[in-house]
Amino acid sequence: MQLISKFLIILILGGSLVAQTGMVVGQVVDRSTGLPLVGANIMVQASNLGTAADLEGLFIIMLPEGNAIISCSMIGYAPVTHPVSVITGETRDLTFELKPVTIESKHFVTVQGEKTSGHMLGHLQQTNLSTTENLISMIEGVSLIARGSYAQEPSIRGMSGGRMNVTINGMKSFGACTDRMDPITSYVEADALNSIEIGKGALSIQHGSTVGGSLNLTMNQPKYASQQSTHWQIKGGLDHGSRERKFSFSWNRTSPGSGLSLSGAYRKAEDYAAADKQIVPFTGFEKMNLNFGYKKRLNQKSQLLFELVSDDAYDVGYSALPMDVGYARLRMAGFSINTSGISPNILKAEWKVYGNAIDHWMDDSKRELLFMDMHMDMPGFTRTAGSYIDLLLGKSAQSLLKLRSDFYWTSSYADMVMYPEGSSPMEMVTWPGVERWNMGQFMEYQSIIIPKINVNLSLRYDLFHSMATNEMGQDELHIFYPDNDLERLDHLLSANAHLAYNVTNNWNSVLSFASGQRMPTVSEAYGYYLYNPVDGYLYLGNPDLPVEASQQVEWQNSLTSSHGRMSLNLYFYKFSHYIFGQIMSEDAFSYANGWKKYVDGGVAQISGLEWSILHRFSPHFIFQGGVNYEESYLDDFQDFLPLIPPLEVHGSLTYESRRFWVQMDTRGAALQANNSKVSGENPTPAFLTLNLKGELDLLPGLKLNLGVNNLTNQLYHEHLDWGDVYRPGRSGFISITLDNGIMGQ
Amino acid sequence: MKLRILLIALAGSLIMILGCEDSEKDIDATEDLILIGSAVDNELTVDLYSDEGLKVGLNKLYFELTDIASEDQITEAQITQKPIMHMETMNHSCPVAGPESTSNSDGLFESEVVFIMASGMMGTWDDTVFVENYDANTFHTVVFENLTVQETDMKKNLVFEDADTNQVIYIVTLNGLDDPKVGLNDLVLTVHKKQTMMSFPEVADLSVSINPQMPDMGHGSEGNVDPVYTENGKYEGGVAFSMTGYWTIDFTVSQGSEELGTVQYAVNF
Repeated sequence: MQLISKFLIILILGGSLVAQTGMVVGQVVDRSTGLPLVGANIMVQASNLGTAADLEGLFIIMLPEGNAIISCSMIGYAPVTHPVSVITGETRDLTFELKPVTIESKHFVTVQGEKTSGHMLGHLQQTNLSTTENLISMIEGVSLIARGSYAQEPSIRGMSGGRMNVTINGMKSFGACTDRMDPITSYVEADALNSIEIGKGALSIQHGSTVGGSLNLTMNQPKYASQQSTHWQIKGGLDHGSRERKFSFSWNRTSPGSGLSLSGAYRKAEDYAAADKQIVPFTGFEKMNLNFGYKKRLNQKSQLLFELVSDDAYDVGYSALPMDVGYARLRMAGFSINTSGISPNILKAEWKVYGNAIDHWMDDSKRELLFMDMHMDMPGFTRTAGSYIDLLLGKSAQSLLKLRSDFYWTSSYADMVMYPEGSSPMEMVTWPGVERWNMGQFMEYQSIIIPKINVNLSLRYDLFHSMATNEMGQDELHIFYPDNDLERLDHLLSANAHLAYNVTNNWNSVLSFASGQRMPTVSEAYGYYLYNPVDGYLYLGNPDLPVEASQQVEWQNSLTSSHGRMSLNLYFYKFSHYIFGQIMSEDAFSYANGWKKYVDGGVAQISGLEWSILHRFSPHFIFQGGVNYEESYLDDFQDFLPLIPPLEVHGSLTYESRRFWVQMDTRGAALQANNSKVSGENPTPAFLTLNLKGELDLLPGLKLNLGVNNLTNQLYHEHLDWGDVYRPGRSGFISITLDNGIMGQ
Repeated sequence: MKLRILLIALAGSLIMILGCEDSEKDIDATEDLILIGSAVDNELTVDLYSDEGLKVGLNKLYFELTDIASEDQITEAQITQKPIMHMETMNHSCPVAGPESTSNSDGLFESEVVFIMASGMMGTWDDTVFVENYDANTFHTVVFENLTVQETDMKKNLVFEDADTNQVIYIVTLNGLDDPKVGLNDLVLTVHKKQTMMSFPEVADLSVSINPQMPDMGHGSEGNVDPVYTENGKYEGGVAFSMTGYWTIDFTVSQGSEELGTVQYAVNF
């Protein structure tokens, strides 16, 4: 592998070494917060050259010798230009500090990973009561699967669970609930979130091999400052409908050489009422989240970062399921060292090591006994540890090579115990102590072949070793697979290619091809009689499942102007060995309709389009809107795929001024009649909801946040909601934010 | 400090040496067996062993013959046995197979006995054993008296009324589920016909189907193996328990196209 990459570097760098060029390395930051501005546009005036700032706000651009003017712009900020004189073979440093055009909006969701089409920036106003899921769902093509009001699971273009890779600051972590009630996103508090990096399908494979997409949640990091200072913020909020109380705080200590941050949030909600005033039972929850970060400069070029995340949820109701969650607990730690400019060819390097543990306890102790006079417990546990090394190699922005070597180990165990009255407890192991080792090698090559044309190629290889180690679990699976040693070794290969063409200065067109693969999940390969409340079947894992594969073609077009942006994406996915549950028995008993086995479901297809627009009419008015539509089909079963969103529209109109902002937003969906019958889905009626929210600066350092969700009191549920449970009815909320600005500095 | 390391090393090697010696012991063929009793007749000792204590159901027995004078094991012999239950008003025997006319590799003679009743207040079991010693050309009779046979609930009577309204009693025992586990469990079902109080011939031409159920849940299980006849009235199959708890297992017994009936067992673990 190393030989190949060395060879590639030589091949790639060979071409650019000849040119008479110098390099400009820079960073784009928000002037008021000092935070990096992801996706800011860098343009060299009077040329076709340009690039975008990466996740840390950094950019590299190669320029011919001479004087040039570089401009940096980003929606929501005033553009800045800097003159620079370039000398062949030398590097110039440049920092752009952009000032927000209107008031500073606390929450920006930055969406990255759409590759060379540039970076999409959503200008979305958030309230203090927004959750991580709320933020994610505002991204084009992302929907949420709800099983209650807590821990909604993100789905990218109708693909979720094992078809997606979810990481926190690049760290792998796996939910411990066999019913997917604890997607990793539920362990991150929205306040602690800095940005969301999203890749659709196999277009982004840096964090792992995937067919459906990747989601990397990056958390707020401690900051440096030119002088020692302390920042704090306290927020308190109340939602009328669910009587949710939320309290959160953040505390930051900055200095030139180190930064320390501590933040936390506590929220508690009761059961909410739907629009028909009926209380939806088992939708309340209680949650406490704590984050700690410490960053220290080792020298001019290097720094280390230590991070801790702790999240505890208690008594979480899941209205769509016959059970609730007693507790769900995450403990996560990460340590990384990164450095830039070690040598002329190594622009950036990062090494990270991390570990996390999730304990999840599901039970029905709060429920009336549904059947047979018995209660049950379903605890699940995952442990994960891993490490990765990132290298960014190259001499210029015209050709860059990104390398990642990663490794992780994860272990999953779950069981289920039922307690019939007057009889022995009934126990079974549902995740048989599955140990999985993954070693991956990723490389991405970016190049501007000729002016106006960008090429981006990625390749990823993964080796997986999986086995079931729990003896009772092995005995259970041996009933069905007597000759299987329940151990497997898989080689996965993913690749993608993007060809971006700047048709005009404002029009960017990208054609992408991707080929992805994914491992069967622990449930799919080794799960034992896992109940799915949507179709009422018990699911049996299949250790013989082949690796699922996808081929993806995508055409993205975006038009940008100083007033906004419009984009249209057309996509098509073809899956082979699509993993799907096949009915094995229809012998119904107490709560189940029978049992299904995960099988190679053959060929599946998904095709669709995403259209979005962002327009600033005046310094005060911003409009944002979008339409998504997709269709799916599973050939062998002559059925549609489950959990595919219908035609969706969303839009928002925002008025911003120095002291306040007001936003009216709407979200609607058409009837979804292309429901998956095999998966037990029902058609879902259309709906349109309207929300109104606003924020007012009362004093320096004191803000008031107000709003009404579901203004028209629609009685509705979304197609991806399990159990067709109604969403909350009209509900008002209020919150207050207080920070150290009140001290009058 | 050095002394301490030396002591630890010394202690370690001592443990190693002792450990090695321990494992060099000879393995006795009867070491893993349980001695039920010994009986002597005319220069011959008969030792009776079983895999575990005797119980209602299928028991594997082992006879070891020893010449008292030479202390040699006798491996060329013909053994027959007759277990009898002595009750207040009557006596009865039980299904017996063997012993084999040749000894096994350890010089033991193996047999199978299906005890159909426990010893205790109701009566006592004894086993009369006849030995023909081929080497010495001698005949011996010994009796193992007052055998302790533990009660189990693994023996059932299957009563079938034939075309002439005669009652036929089949004795069915379920074996192999003393320590049930989740997963596939091997099981042995024995079926013998109660011809007279003293005669219990095996029934070899039956077809048996198995149906485990979990009454608390209302479901059965997948992956069960219907018992199939092997030898000596034994039908070998497998029961799959998908989880721990209280299970019932129904065996439906048929002869040709005629269903003889169903016996039900309960397993709780």
